[in-house]
Amino acid sequence: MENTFRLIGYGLLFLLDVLLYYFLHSHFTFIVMILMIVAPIVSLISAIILKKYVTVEVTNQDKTSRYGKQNEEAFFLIKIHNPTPFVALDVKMTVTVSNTFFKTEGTKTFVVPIYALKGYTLELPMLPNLCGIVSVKVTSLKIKDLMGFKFFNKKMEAEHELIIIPEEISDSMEELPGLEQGMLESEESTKRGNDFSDVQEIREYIPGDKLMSIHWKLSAKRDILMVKDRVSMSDKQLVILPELCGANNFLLEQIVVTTYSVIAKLIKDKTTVRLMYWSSKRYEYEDIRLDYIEDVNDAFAKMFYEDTYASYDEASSYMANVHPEMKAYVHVTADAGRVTVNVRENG
Amino acid sequence: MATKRKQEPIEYITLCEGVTLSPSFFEKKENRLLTLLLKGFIVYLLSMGSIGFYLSAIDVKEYNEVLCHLVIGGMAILCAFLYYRLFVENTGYLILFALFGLAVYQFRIYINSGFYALVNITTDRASQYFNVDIQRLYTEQIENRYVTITFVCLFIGVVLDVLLNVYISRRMQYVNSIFFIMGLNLIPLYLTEEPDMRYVIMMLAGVVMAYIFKSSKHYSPQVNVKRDDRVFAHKGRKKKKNREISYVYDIKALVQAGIFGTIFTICVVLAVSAFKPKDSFNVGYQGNKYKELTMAAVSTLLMDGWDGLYRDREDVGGIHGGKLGDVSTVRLDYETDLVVQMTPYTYDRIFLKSFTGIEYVPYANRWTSMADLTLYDASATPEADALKDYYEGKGKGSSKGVMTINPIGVNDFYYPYYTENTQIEGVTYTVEFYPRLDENESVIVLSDYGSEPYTELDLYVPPENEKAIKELCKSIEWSSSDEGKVYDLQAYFQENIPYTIRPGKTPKNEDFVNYFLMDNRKGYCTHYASTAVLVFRYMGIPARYVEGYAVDYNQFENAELVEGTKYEDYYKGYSEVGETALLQLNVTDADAHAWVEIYITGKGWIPVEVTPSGETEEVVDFWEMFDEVMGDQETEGGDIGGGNIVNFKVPNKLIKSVCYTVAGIVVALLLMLLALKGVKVLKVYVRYAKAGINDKLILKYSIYCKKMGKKDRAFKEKINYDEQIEYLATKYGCQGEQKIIAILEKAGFSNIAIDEADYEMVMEWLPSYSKTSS
Repeated sequence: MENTFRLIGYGLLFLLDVLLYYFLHSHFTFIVMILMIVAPIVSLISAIILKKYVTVEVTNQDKTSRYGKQNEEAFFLIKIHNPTPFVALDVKMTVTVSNTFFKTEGTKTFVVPIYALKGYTLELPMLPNLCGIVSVKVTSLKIKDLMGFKFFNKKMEAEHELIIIPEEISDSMEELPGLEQGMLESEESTKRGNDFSDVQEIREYIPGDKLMSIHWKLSAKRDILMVKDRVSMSDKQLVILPELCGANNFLLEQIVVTTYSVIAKLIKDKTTVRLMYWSSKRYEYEDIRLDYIEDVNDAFAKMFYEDTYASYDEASSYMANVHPEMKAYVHVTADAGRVTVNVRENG
Repeated sequence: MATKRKQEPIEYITLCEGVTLSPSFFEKKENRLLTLLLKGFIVYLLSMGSIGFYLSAIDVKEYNEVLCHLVIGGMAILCAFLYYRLFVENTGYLILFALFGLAVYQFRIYINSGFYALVNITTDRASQYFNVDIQRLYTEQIENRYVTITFVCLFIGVVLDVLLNVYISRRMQYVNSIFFIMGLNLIPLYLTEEPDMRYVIMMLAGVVMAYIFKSSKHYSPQVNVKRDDRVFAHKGRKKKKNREISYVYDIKALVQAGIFGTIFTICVVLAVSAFKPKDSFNVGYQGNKYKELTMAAVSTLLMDGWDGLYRDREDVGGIHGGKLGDVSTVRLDYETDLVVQMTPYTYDRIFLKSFTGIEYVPYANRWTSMADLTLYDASATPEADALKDYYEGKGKGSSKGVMTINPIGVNDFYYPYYTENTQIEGVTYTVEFYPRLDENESVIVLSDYGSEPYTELDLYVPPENEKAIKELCKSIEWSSSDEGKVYDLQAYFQENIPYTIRPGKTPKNEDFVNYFLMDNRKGYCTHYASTAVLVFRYMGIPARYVEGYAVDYNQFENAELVEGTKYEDYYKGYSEVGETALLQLNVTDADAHAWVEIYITGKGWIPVEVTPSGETEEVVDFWEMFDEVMGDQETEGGDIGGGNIVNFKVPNKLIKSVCYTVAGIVVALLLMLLALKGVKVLKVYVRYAKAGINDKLILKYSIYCKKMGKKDRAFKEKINYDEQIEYLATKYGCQGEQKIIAILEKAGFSNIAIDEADYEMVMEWLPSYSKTSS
């Protein structure tokens, strides 16, 4: 509508000049007439050329890192490259911002100029309140010609993703009493400072075995030194199983953040952790051993590509069948509108 | 006057659930002064382009172009800068108007004269275009057009700067601007006068730039977007779901688009001019019937004004009747008054006389006709008789001419000198005359006048005029001979009293001759002739005032050849130009003239020309002229050259006025800056006085940071309390920075009031400026 009014206005001005030219037959009005004929043509051609050659690239400011932190500013750069000598003052850029993990999406139009022979760089400082994968995608550029007569629409597919790592809750362990409530005896023993281990098999003594591993009672019965072949829980690793249930984004975010915080805390305590989650895409568990905090980021990045599911016990429901050897695991889920962390015995 | 709007807070914009656009996005700022500079430049292009368009179209070059560019450009940018802040705009405009009013008042005579000069020049162009005479010319009190036109250009330029800035700086309203700048410029276009290409380019480039910026909508419309420097704004109605985040302005993009528009304009103008040159544009053009329909009305309107329709046209058709002083401007219609058939015989001017004035009547401002005085025998022609006798006696250099005169636009009878019989009847009449040429100049006139060759009236100077005439006579070193005296007076007039066809009317209750000599000191033929008659009489030479037509030899170049006639039938005897064909000459009122007859013993009454020539104005440097103007204050007002440049009396106050005006502008600007600074400081004090202890601390700290930032660039880059305090602690070796940070954060971010002791602690902790500067 605006363009139509502008066209009508321009037409009236042109008509006025033509009448003046007819009436006065002046060189000046002739120049104006030619100018008014040529100007829209040049303007439209420049916009068409711009449309043809302009490209868009989306990056994040720190190209060396693909991670951002939840609740911390993440900078996306939308670079419009313009190799032509033409300038545009009104370019509507449609930007779709989404979080693929939480299945949220929004579209915003940014109006920017395009410099001649350079383009334009739009720096978008974003504040991700949710973890997951934030994707910024430029879907179209609408370039208005300088005279303001027409928008030229160009479809785009420039996209960039940034993995937003959950914000660590420093007092997560204390705030989650469920972990202690659900601890196994052996785990409680570990907490008290005792050896936290389990007997896997009993075998004959092999030189080098620890004395404390000798099963004295059985050795006495069999008259041969038998040793309890203990397997440390730390070797078996603590399994954490978050429920990636997408029924409620708030709870899902809490589950992920809690999971991350627990894992981070354990890793800082030099405890190796196994992150297991149910992949509804492949219909199997994803099992990732985490020794360092960097592993955690990669593991979560991988996890964020998964699809969420509908039930808060879907992952745990398959555990007994798929992993019968697993005795227990830390189950992070939600119940009654709040996140719970429980140690569940398998089976 | 602009009104202030509430500052719009920075919004948190949700891009999608879980992702918001950080408020820091909107903190990015643009240098708005540069944008205002660009707008000022557009205004300069439009206003100076418009003025240059008009002046170059009507071919006015006598003004200081460079000064106009500088002042109009500077004022355009200054006006644009007024839009930087609301306070600056409101107060700045008031001060500007006050100063402008003062300047206009001081230079009103120059501006007024400049206006009239432009009107007169335009009217001249119109008269040429319509091939008619101007009917309304204004008296320029100061005739130095180089100065006055410069003044009026500056005046119009500043007015245009102010007006166009309202349209351009606020809303980029190019349509209104076009009407403003093109309104008067249609006049020269109507008169088929084309402007200089430089100004066409300036004006069109300005319009193209304004159009492009308006179309883009990114020119910072000051009314909608607050006067802050943010680059981006959230546009659209708040209830609208998908509001755009749009840049407000970007100086780099605007400059690039402006350059693109300008280059494009230059290319088009040059290409069109190369393809269809301005000079040959209308060659072969037959005209437009609709325009022709308007031409009569427009010519009347332009030259006569509205009263032209009711104007008494008695005063056209030459000078006649001896009436003086009632003519502001010689109005020529170039209509033919007499059709004369004759053979040219001399290179000198040929006078066709009609009216002979004997007695000058002071204050009534008229000459009494010889015909009305019984004292004179109008039929006596002793000079003609003597020359006829000489011719018939076949004297050397004698001749006889025949002239046929058809008075078609006048009622009086006109005849050449030395006509035997002046009792003429009939519509078209033929007269015989005996020319006095160089060859027969010595012919002695002894013929009887009947009584005396002249009377006391021919020597009478009214007492009312004696004083003025006496003073004039005193200022001339007279020759001893009568002929010499004529040349002396001619020279005096030529050098001291410029010729103009726009002398202005003689005011009521003023004497024509006295006013001419004592006050106005400019005029046309009747002024010189009337004065010369009295001067000659005062010097003892009998003299008379004569009106009629004067035909110069070069006018015969445009005369028509009369076929089927014999040269001998129209001229016999000696001719200075040799034998020629009979020519028919149209004598118009442009040839109307007044001159003097003096009596020379032995020659009788001979015509004498005393009117000086009117030459074109000299173009001199503006400042030289201005210097002259200043310098002339010491003298009583001499004269400049022999052209139309009039050395006007400069008011003694002028130089003081200029100085006062300039000083006033400077002082006012300084006061404005001081006032702005003062208001800022006052605002801070008011805020400080009203603030709680937390705000007081933060306010003081922010002032401290601002001042410190000016001294230390590294400090300026520190953006929060942590960084700033730690920087200071490291640099100046202060201890306890964590406590200071905690107090500042508490004061800045919490609702809990800090203690007086905390306040004092922070103040004491901060390194003093003297310490920092050392």
